[in-house]
Amino acid sequence: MNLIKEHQFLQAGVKTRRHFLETCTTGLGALAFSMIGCQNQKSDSLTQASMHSGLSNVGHYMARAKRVIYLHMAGSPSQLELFDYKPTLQRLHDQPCPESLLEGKKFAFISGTPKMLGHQAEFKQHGHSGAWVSNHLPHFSSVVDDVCFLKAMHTDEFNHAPAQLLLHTGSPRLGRPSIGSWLTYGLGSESEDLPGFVVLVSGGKTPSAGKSVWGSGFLPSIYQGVQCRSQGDPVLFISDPEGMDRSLRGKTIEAINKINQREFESVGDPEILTRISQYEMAYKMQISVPDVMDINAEPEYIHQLYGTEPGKASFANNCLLARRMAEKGVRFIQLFHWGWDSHGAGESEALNHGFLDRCKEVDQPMSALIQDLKQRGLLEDTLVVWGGEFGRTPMMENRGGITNPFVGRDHHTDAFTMWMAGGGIKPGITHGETDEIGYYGIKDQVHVHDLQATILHALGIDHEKLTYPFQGRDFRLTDVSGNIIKEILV
Amino acid sequence: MEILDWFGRFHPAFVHFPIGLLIGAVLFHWISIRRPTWKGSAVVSTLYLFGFVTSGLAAFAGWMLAKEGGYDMETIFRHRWLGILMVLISLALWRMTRLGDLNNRGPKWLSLALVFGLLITGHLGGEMTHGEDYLVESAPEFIKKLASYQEGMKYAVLDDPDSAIVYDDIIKPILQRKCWTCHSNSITKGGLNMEDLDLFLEGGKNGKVIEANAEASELYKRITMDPERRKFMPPKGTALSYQEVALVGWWLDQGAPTDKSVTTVESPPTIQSILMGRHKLDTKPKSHIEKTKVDPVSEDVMQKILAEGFAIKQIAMNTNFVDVKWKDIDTLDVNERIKILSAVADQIAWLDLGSSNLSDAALSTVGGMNNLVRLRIENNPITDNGIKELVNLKHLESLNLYNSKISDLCAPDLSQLRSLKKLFIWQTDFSEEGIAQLKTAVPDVEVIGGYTFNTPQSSD
Ligand code: HEC
Repeated sequence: MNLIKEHQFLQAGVKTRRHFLETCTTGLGALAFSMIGCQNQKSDSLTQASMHSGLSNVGHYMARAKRVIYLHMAGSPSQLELFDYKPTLQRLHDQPCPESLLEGKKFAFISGTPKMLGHQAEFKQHGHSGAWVSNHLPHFSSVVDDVCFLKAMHTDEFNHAPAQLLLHTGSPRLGRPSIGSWLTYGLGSESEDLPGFVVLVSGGKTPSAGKSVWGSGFLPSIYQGVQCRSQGDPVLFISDPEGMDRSLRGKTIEAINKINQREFESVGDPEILTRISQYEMAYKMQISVPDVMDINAEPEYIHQLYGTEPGKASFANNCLLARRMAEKGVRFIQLFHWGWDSHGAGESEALNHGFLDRCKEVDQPMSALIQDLKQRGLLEDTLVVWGGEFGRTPMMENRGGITNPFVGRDHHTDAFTMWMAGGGIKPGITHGETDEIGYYGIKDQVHVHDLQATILHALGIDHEKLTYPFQGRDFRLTDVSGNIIKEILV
Repeated sequence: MEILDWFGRFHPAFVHFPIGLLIGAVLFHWISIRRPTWKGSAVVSTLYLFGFVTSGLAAFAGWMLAKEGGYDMETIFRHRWLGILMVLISLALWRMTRLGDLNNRGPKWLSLALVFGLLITGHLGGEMTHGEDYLVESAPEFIKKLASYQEGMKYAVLDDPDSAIVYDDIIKPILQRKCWTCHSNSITKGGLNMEDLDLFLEGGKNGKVIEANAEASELYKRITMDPERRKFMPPKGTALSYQEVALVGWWLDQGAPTDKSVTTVESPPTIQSILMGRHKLDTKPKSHIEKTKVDPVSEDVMQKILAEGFAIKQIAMNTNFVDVKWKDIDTLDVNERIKILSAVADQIAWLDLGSSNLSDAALSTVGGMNNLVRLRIENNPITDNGIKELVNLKHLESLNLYNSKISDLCAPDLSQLRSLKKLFIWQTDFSEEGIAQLKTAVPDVEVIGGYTFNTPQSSD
């Protein structure tokens, strides 16, 4: 390897405009001097990171879970129609919201004085744990004893895209690596021929924040999420073009990689290694991805369990795919199901219409996923996480100050419900509590950074130690915050 | 008698006379040696005399003060006898300088010893009034390093809650630091001796001071009452910190055991965090892997195992246990290659041989893995005979056998796995009754069979 060139490359990578401006004030001599001093001390980890499988791949402490299946309900489902039962809110239904609750608050759409909105659902307690679940999730009611509810989640952002970014990358602005990227960076992949981080999307649209919610940010791009589709080619352009057979493809890739290897040896750019392994991975994926994505091979009772229909792009199919990928050792499997933004501004997003359809789409598959993972012994070391990017208000939305023809709720950052199951999480418990109308968390509040810290912890990673040097400082997923939710860990 | 106690209180003020006089004496002593024309011998011996008299008085006052108690006994022992030695040395120097030449070897060396001794005695005295770290505490960093001074590391680090004894390792050191100065074998204020365990349990002049309930114990009352009151303990010196009071209270509430370890008593969350902060003692129950130490697997062996078609990986940075998985390469047969794993039989904690066409015979290698905690051998043609090979896995907590050929007949063998917590037997030849019987035989094990939804009612 050409050491001088590599050194120059690394220097260029860590030098920023800010460094330049800073040093300008003390003259060019100082500037030159600062270049000498600015060697990146972390250069070791940089080159290491560019190896195929992440860092040393060994967690800081013993992992409870080996992989994560993250079910993101894009648009944010209403906790008040699913889990957070508040009899007081029911009594206050249709009363004007007291001014004290609105003072100093900002909402995405609510203006003036909205009315309180009682539950658009019936609640019952289920299982030994006595968890409250509404009648919209009948299948899910039967698996509550395997689940841990986080009832006092809160976030900082009240619009979809920033809130999704905050949830998945730790920052509401673009450019940070997503949690799946951090995990594959830290732990590598368990699978030889599938990517370590796979994304499956259903509901007709990608999440509002776009593909950056599974981007790799400043981490080497090998760690970004790979989106697989359940219709057509599972990964775009994965089939060989006509006239190119597999052995020719193999030879081509071999030749390209040789050239790239030579280039890496002279320049030392870690992105070249990324490229080499991407090519190798893509070649393997031409066989492995169609194989894992083919749910036709599943027996009939499994299709019945999940409610799957092969060939359709649905949340059910994606749940089944998630299990298949978990079996193959994919580290982070992220499902997005779009359409939960129940403002009530139209039928498809009304609590009494579209919302019910979404519930039906996810209820059986997500419950089946838990049961199926459990009977295969996979739930032991697979962490399942479910939730939206924020919650919804106890007030009815009155967009533009008028009453809507459909019932809906506005975005709400201060209280929402998520649940987790499996790998290292106590089953059958509820953590956190909101006030009597579900407006604020009053006990055991959990910020999204705390959730991230806890997910990393379950996989054996100390969220304060998994860092990456970029633009002159070390970055981490939880930035400067994040407390592990100790109470919910086994 | 009382007047003598009062006299004792003058010790700290009094000691400065002999120190000043004797150091002056030594100074003049040496000047006179260098400048014989000075003829200072009379002055020097007189100064030694004054030094001797005042140091004698100071020593006597010190002796009285020490009787009052409240000082660290080891330090006081050293301070006391060094001080008396100083008195004797100054007496000797007076005699020598009065009669003989200042320049003799004897008085020369003795005078140097005196200065040195005074410094040490003085320092020991200062330590007792100001506390041990007084000088180093605010010293520059390099001095701290020289003195190997570490902040906050005043308490013993206890690693293992199983072997840490509540009284000996946690409570006794507190009492020793803060109470023994007045309640020990040598000083028993209020008739209470805390150093001798039997006498401590007997109590003081007013009877028992310890009850199996903090609020009812005289000892606890004394450390929690209004510090302004005369009965507050300790009457002088540093009071017990919040943490120390909490720990003593906890110990009393647990029945004031003298031989129980931390794991055998109940500890509420506040106590747990105090133990963590003060002693780095983690009271959470530890799993087998966390408790057990094994030798690391050498890089050489790792490579060999990799070459045979297994993935092998250390479980975490803080343990040498490994996680091993068959890589499921079509061309290789796990049954021929599994023998290589005997090389790491002690280090394997998690083993995944699922869907590998594993045979019963191959399980004999697995049966020898003493520290195995998680075993996945699902989707294999394993029968009841294979299970017999596993009965000695005494740390096995999770066993995945789904989709294998086992049946009701292996239930007795499965019941022998005494650490087992989870057992996966979906899609095996187990009968309904067989599963029910197994569940009653091993009530602590979660037996996981298959799952179907019992057609839930429709949602709207
Ligand atoms: C400076 C000396 C001194 C120190 C240090 C000291 N004590 Fe005492 N203690 C006394 C004296 C003097 C008495 C007797 C007078 C009294 O009862 O108040 C006494 C009495 C007691 C008694 C009552 C004994 C009886 O039966 O009447 C208890 C209990 C006691 N001390 C506990 C403690 C504890 C616990 C500590 C450590 C936190 C402590 N003491 C530290 C001087 C001390």
